[in-house]
Amino acid sequence: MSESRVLLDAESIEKSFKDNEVLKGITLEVHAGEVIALIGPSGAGKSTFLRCLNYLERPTGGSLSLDGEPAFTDPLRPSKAELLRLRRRVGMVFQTFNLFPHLSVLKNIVLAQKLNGLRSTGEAEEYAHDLLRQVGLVDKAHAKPAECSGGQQQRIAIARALSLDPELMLFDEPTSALDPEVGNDVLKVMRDLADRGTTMIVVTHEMKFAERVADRVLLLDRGSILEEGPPEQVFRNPSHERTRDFLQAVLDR
Amino acid sequence: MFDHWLEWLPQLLSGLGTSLLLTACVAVIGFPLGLILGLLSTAPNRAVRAFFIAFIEVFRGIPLLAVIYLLYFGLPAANVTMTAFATIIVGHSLNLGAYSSEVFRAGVLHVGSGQREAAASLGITGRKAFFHVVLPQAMRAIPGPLMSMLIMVFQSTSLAFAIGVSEMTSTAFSIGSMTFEYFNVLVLAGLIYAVLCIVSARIVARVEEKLN
Repeated sequence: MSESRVLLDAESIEKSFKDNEVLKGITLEVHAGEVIALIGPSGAGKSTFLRCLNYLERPTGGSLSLDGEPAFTDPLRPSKAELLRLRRRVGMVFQTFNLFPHLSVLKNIVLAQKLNGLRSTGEAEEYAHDLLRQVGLVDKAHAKPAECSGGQQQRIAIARALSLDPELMLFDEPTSALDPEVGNDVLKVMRDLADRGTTMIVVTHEMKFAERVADRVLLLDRGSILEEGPPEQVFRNPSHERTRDFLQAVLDR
Repeated sequence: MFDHWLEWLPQLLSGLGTSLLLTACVAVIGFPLGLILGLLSTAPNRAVRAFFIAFIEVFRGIPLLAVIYLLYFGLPAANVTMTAFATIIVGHSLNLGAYSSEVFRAGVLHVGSGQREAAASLGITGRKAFFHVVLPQAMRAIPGPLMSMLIMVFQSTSLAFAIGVSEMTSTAFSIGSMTFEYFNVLVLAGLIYAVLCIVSARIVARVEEKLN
């Protein structure tokens, strides 16, 4: 892992909402093929940090590089073209799925491919079918999102994010809105992706998933990285009292 | 009382045709105007936004009849003259545009930020996001209110009477003035309005049910 190339380099990412400092300069290098779990108490800034990585949230400080190249000439004033390029390379899956309700499942996955000029309609549909097969939902191609269960919707959302062939996938609490048994189907799809070498950053409260699938676990607390390391170290042998408290609280639930 | 109804019906129906034609023209101009006004009244630029909010408020504030008089009798002073028919269409369209802009605006605002974010995360922003993600969803929420407005437009085309366009109300009135059976003929005209409005309201309710 240490020898593989650095795919994403987030350098001292800061984010403040007025006087409220949510991220106090977070630095993270993500290697190609790596799976990173972001854990921590709510309000720690996990989601905000994740959203800064595709600029859905605009950082108030710091910089991003992809493949060693700065994503923005001026990180505080990103150009439209730069934003577009970043977002085509970084896919995102949301807690609440956010599928487009007016489009069929298939069209949800086709839309971005077409609007980004990635593939022709025929190719895009074929690819969408492939992706649906990957997440086990090819029979839902012509259903509307509202006709699918939450777990199915989230798997469709994953297929949709994959449709642009992103180099990095961001997951923002992908199972938090789901019943546990349904969530497992989603986690299985994510595990498959990890096994196939997809680079992923996952904000999660699923400690088992973090322990089994992640190469590295980051514990965020009050806008900073409190603990960082391979899962066995973070979970079995944390170096901070607060980490122990947090893990205790989570595992007691 | 009913013996004249059959005799009057052809004239009234031709007046009704004019009312419906006016309504259709007003819809074709007024709704797109409403969409544009609705969007501009949420524009990021403060001056643009203020101008169009003021525009909307003015045309919602002035009674439609006053707008019609202003256009028909006032504008010629500025060397702008329109036929009575055109005046009715322009006046109603401004009115409908101002009122429906709120519906369009609410429809667009109704589409949650999650949808815009999902689109943005897929490299879909700006005009593409608006036309492929936001607008189609906004449109699903608004046909009901818009069709109710259209029914009101149909009823208020009777204001065309004031400047001599022979739509259904003025046709009824002129029949009344010749036969002195004002009550009788206006009841018939009223019934025709009511039947059409009730039927359309039913259709609107059906469509809304389907959409939800």
